Amino acid sequence: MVISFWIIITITFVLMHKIPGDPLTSLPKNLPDSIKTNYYIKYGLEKPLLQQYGIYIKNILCGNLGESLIYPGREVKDIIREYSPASITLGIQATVLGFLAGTILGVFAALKKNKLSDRIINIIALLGISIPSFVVAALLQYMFSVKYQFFPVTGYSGFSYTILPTLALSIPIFAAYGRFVRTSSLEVLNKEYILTARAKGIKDSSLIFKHIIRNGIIPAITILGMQLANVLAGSFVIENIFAIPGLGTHFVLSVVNRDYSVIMGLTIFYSALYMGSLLLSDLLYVIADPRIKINGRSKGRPTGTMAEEL
Amino acid sequence: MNIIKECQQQKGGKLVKIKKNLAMLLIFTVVIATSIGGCSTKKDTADLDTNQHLTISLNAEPESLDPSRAVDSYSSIVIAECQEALTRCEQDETGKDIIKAAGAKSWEVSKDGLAWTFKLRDNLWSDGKEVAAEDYKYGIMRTLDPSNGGRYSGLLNSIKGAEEYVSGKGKAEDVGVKAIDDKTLVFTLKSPCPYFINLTYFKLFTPQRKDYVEKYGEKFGADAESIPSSGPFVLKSWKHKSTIELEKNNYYWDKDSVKLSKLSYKILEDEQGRMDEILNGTVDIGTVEKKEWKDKFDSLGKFNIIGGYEPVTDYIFFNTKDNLFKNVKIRKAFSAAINREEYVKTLFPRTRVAAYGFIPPSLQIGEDDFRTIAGSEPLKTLLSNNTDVKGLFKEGLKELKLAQEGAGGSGGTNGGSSGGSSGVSSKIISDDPAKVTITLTAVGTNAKQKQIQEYFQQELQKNLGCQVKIDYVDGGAYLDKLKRGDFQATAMAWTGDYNDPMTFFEIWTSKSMMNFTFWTNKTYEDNINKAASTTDQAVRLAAFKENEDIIVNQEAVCVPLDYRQRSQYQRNYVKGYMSTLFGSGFECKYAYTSGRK
Repeated sequence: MVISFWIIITITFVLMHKIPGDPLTSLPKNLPDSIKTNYYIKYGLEKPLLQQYGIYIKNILCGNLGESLIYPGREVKDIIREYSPASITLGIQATVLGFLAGTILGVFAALKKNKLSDRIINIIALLGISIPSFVVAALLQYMFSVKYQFFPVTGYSGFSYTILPTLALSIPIFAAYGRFVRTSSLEVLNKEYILTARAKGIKDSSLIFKHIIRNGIIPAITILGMQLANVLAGSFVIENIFAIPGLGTHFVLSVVNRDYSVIMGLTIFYSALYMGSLLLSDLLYVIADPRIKINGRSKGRPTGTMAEEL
Repeated sequence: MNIIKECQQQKGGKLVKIKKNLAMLLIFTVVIATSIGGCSTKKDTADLDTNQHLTISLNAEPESLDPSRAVDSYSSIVIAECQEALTRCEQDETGKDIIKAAGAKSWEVSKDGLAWTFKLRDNLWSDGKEVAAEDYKYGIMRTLDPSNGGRYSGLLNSIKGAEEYVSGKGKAEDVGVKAIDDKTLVFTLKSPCPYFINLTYFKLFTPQRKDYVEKYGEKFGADAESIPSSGPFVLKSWKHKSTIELEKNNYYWDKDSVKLSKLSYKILEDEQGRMDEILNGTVDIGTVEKKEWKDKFDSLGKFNIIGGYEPVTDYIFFNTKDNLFKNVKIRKAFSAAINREEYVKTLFPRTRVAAYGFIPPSLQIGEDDFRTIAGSEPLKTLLSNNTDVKGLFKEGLKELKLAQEGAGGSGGTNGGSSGGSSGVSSKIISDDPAKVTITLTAVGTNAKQKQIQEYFQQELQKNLGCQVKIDYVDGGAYLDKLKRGDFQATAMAWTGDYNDPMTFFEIWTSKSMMNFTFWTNKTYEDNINKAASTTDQAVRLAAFKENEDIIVNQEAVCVPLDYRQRSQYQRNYVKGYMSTLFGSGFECKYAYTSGRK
């Protein structure tokens, strides 16, 4: 963990300083050198890179992520504290919604294989994947906030503000899971034990819940971890369209503005999120597939390494 | 990925929106503002809506509300409503910018034009404390303080000792700003500055509270509670990247003129969201840029449109150290090869107007519109004198080839070094246009930028017969590249800082940080010095006129493309709102609503 963090920090630090420009060159105005020097001294940017790196590592160890170079007086940890709740809330809502809807429709499509409803679901899923989310977002916004004023257009101050962005964010997730679950459910359906179960006269509902869903979503959980980290990081496009004060816009703009301390702070935060969600998806395996648990315990492996095994 | 495109689009936008800052009229002797409140008080206010609130969209988050450290235009908009600068930029009945006494009730200038004495008005901070001359002085000194970075201190350079102090060469005590007593503030200038009063409504001339700055330290200006107010409105809350809410300031000296009880800014970076908010009615005033949206809004009939020019000119400039563009005929041919009328019609219908000079219409010299009284437009002269564009281009190439052959052998290395370190086109020049390649450097790669550059590419290839390449550069690296001279020609937009042609002409001087052309001209510099040291507007006009002719026509280092037009859409029920050219640009002090449903 610590080593991965260190590697991430070092690589980002080097790359960030290697791209041309600095926080001042992203200003539209060219400044006299004396003023530039003042600014560099203020933020310690005049020191050799190695020394800056040393100072930064030392600060991180003391839990200090530094201050934004573009927005005076805003500390990086305040930025994370202030903006991450919106991104995380939307991310979780969208993932849960997408995952549930995708699973249900995927299984349904598998059961109705090659029938009309399967085809329709397929087309919806295809559209969901291929239509860019900003188009969906703009359409939703226009339909449900301007034409029929059900929801607020933009902003973030309550549950009603999260509905449209959540929908827009969840559509690609839903589409991806739908396809995924359908394929794996079909595989399960062709298994002999399903035939056995049917032969034993098991009820359709318990066949679906006990056998198909349980086995069908295992591969889907594999991508859940990565998907979750992706969505939690916030979407630049969706946050922009709905004017949501989230981290996504901050991350992208910090790179454009060369806001070094924000780039670093957010990279660290995202890495932590990513590692956290990988761990979470490993844990979900255990719930979905008891074989893994028994297997894992008997060999005395920590749960964290199970992803590799699969 | 579209993420990248999107953000570069933002960057491109930011570059031109830079700073809609200062200025106006030249009031030279004593001005005592008698009609405070101006035209708005005359209006019938009987049909005022009971709930007075207004929402405006901002295209980006203000960097900070600390007047000394924020350098963006969005912070200026909000600061103008919360803080009382020495003067305010307002509009007269015809919509022309005028300067109104605000923090200062009167001012006078010494005979030599060097000492400006401001008598302050009795005004209170939003916590009840008196606004003192010392607060204004403190604000100026903080902006200049080297430890604050002083990124915007350039506008204070006319004050004696300011440039020295900010660059660490001078001392704080030597800066020409003094608080004589609680109500008297005196500025001593380096040399007479005919437009000094046009600077005084900019955010740098607002008072600041030392106790708050010391209490909040680095966090001063980053959050609502750290900023006490001295202007018409008090900062109530600031939800970063989302909304800023202001309320009427009951301690404000002119609180009777303020009719709004609540003023909100919604920060909407995305155009789609912004348009939908305006359409839906949750935002009352917003800027609409695209033709398709304008047509849509126009058809609804629910909006008043505030048009007119922005103090912005788009132009192309050259690297005159470049082997090709050191030749004036080549530069002229380039300039003449672009049909401006076609260009704006194709790319910017309803948003821009073809430019034949460098100074945009509506910018004033003294009390007159520069474009109107200057009469001639230098680009028109250039176009009428050079109708055979291809021929001119060939002539230029021939001259270059001759010069190269003449310098060949013995002067080979010599020519190389004097030709500059850039070496963008260091190859031997051919006099066949088809073998010549021009590279245009462009910031960002968003769709609009591509359209613009490809338009130039086509026009130039067609009209000059040469090859044109486009080099797209990321915003952060762009200025660096220009400074190194690693370019041939590039397009830029310049936004005036204050209402005087000087804000446009000063960028072509050798001292200017925005002159990337490596071009200098003695007559030009002399004219600038002349215009900077006199208060005689006739002399200044003549000097400016000659300079415009030099850069656009005679030397053709500047290729004007278009003047930008503003288009703010406001709901019909919004009254008394002033969209000033300079100042905040979104003045809501006198705004109210009447007939909001």
